[in-house]
Amino acid sequence: MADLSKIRNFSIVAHIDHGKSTLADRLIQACAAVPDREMEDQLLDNMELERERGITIKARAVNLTYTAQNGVTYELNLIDTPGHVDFSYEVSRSLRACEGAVLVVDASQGIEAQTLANTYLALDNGLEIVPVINKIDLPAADPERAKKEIEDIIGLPAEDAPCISAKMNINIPDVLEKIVRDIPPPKGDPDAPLRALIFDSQYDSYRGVIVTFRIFDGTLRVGDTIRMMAIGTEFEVLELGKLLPLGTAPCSELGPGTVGYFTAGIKNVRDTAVGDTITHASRPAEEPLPGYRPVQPMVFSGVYPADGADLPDLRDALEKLHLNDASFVFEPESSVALGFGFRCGFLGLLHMEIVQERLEREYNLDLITTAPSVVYKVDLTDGQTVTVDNPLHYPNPANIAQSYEPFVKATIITPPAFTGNIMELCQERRGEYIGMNYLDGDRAEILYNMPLNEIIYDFFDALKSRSKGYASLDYELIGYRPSKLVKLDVLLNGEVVDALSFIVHVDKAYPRARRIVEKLKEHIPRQMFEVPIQAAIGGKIIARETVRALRKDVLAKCYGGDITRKKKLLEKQKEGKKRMRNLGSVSVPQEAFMAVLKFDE
Amino acid sequence: MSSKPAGLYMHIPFCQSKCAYCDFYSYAASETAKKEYVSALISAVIAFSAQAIGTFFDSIYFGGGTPSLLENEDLQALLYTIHAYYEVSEEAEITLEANPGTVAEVRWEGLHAMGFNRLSLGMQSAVDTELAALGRIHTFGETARAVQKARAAGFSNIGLDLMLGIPGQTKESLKVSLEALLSLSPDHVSAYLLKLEEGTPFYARYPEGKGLPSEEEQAEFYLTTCEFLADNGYIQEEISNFAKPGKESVHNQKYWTLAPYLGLGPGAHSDFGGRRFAFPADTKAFTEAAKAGTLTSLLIMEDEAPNRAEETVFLALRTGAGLTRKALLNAAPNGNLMFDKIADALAPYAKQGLARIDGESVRLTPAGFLLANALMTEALLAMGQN
Repeated sequence: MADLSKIRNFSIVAHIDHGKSTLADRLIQACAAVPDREMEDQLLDNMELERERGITIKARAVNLTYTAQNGVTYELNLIDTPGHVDFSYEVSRSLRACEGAVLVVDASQGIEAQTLANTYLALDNGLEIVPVINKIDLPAADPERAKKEIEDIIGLPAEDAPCISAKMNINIPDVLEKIVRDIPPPKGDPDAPLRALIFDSQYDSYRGVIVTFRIFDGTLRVGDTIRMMAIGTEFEVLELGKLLPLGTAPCSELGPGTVGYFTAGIKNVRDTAVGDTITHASRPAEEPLPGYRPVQPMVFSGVYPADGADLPDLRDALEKLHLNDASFVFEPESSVALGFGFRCGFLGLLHMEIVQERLEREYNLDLITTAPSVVYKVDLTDGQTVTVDNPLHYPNPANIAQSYEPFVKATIITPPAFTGNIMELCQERRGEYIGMNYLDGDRAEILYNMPLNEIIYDFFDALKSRSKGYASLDYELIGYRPSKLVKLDVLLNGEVVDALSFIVHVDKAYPRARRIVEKLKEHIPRQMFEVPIQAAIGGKIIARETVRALRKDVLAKCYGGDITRKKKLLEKQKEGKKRMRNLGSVSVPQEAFMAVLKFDE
Repeated sequence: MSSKPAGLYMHIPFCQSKCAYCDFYSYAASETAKKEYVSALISAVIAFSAQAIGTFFDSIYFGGGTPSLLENEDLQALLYTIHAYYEVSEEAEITLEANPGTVAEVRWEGLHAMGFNRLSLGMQSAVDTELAALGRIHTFGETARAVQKARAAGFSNIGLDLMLGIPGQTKESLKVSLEALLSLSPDHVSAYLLKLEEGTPFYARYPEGKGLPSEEEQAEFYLTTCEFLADNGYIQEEISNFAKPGKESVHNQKYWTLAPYLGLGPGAHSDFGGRRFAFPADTKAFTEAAKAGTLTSLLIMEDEAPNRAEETVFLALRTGAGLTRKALLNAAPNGNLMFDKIADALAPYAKQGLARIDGESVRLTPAGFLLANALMTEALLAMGQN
């Protein structure tokens, strides 16, 4: 068994763009022990190549060997945390697997909302924090200010925090020394019943699901039959080992305090939920590790192939993505306007964007997505309560006794100059002011309770544009509140376009309706007839715009015998038309569906 | 298809000066360069004569550019060569495009005597400030005199070009041009909508059409013109072409009815021998290849197997006679079905007054011609070919 005193398990906590992955690469490089310069380049090149080809899946944990200045060789496990606000649960599980966290703060930008949220998460999990000031090479760098912020805002001593530049490879060994010195080694009883925490699982088409875990108690061996305590599934461990920067180091057993992976011919990541506890089927632990929570999608959206013929490809892509990301769910749905597609549930708006982008980029799909919706709860007059995540299923107002919408507590950190703008934005979005704290002279923290449905409509974009990009946001669900909601329908040429319907607070219905008809007017090309665009609640029209009829679309010029030019033009027009959706008699380009998702400009 | 009489197009890529809206391949050239080009074109006529064996031509069209910039003797030499090497009908329509500012009065008789029997004159407008705005080198007075002199010289088939959407053009000024045009009693009228083409001075001068008559006004101008010409006995042959009965342009019909035509000269297009091809718009390359006897290697193959059904649809829809069931059946074995699909797809637009549809034909109305691209796109999508 490994000597626990020589193991350090840690994460890196940073705001996006503050240099987390660059620092991770530098730490790996510093521990790679490849003395020859060329060899080192080679090593990095190899990683690059593998990443490009996508033949290795990105490891969520990397096992490193570091010989410290005191001559002792340590085993370091660097555990990656997902980078954004929607994954706070996953982040919390990754942090649970560590004894410490390196807190990276940008020397020029200081602490941001996300850093703060994750730092608190790390502190809540009892982690030792090692502050590091990064990007000291930048002209605007002010390491002393950043240190002061860490001390004032988080209350951690930071006077001897390493000042580094991950990009320029400055002072990286200082970080490693701090890690082995300040972060405590793991504890655990190798003979106790097995308890290991799953903090990541990814699907590999050759080996099935690769589960990454941290052992707290007991010993795991190849051939063991294990049980997932929350899900209840059992598997026989086929391969066990450590994840190295390049490839893996299989071994026959792993003891407490260690981080590793196993495979067991598992077909689906759903069987290996993040946060679940692994134990032995023959000698199960009495209690699982605390904190398991099943995945709960908070934001739903319809995802349709731009070309209906691509439906099987979309299904295939969703299934493949789902193998690797159990946190999003999907089921078939159909729309009169968009045909057949899928209703997808996501952890949050960013998660939704990531999944959509992966579908488009990695699977080369052209998608139309509908307005995101949160999950509403509705008490019906007959005493039933229903949940609604799709505007199409919103009950008839006559049958509704009371509607409820989810609220979040939003934390926004911004330079004080923008607090006015941001509070105005939050008020506009029906926010309920809780308070504001000046973290220091340069930074204020604004707290609001806000309806989630106001955040999922371009709130991030609006926040960025009203703070010149400086404000950062974190939010957590706090529960449901009674609300006055209505379903807003959009009509083109007198016909309801189901894919454009959405649920909105009654006070916001009119401005939203105005914006949506204006946006549609901008994006619907003129047709051979006039197209009225209307927004309605129930049967009542509350906003209207008109796309004037096209007057002239003709090549009335002497091209002589150049038929090819005419043909090419028509071919282009034909292709353009094919890409549009025909809603009744009206042709609507895909962009129109996307444009209505942006309200604040 | 090959039994249809063919047309021969001769491209003359020279202009005295370039009009500010024009993106056709043409430029000012020295007398030597013109002579050199005429020899090259004569070589081309001879070189392609082998491919034209067995083809009967009933139209020869000298277009440009400004063919009237060539001397009478050069035009004579070209016509002579054509007649020597090609089978040309006695009654063939032989057209010369001419810029009213470029033909000395004494030349008309000679042009008529050598065989030209149809003139196409670029009148464009009767308002001289509009002509100047277009960068034209002639006045309306010169056009009127040219028409008069040409008639006196024996030309009994004269077409005039009219431009719609000229900078500064108004409803009233258009009316002036239309009345003036009518006073010259042309046999044929081409009424074109000015189109902004990339790379022309107009394109930079009127960004996105700002400063030009609005789309709405252009549409009005077009409808006014169609109505005016119809009221005065002209039949709408095609979107932009109008003729007195019996004076329809034989040559233009080739393009719209899928009859074969051979185009010689840089930038000239052909639909000949079942294929569509073109010469690159490069006079130097053309002249050198003609000298070296390698003209065929210069050809750009545009379409080796044209989809005749699609072509029939979008070309016939340009014409006043419209798309007929018969024409589509000639072009494709399932033409009947295609015709029905197209008629169905366009039926809603017929209700709007954009088309007239009966069991045998689909014809666009003037309002429909204004939306021809959109309607053709519908028709092409409806006929179910990709």
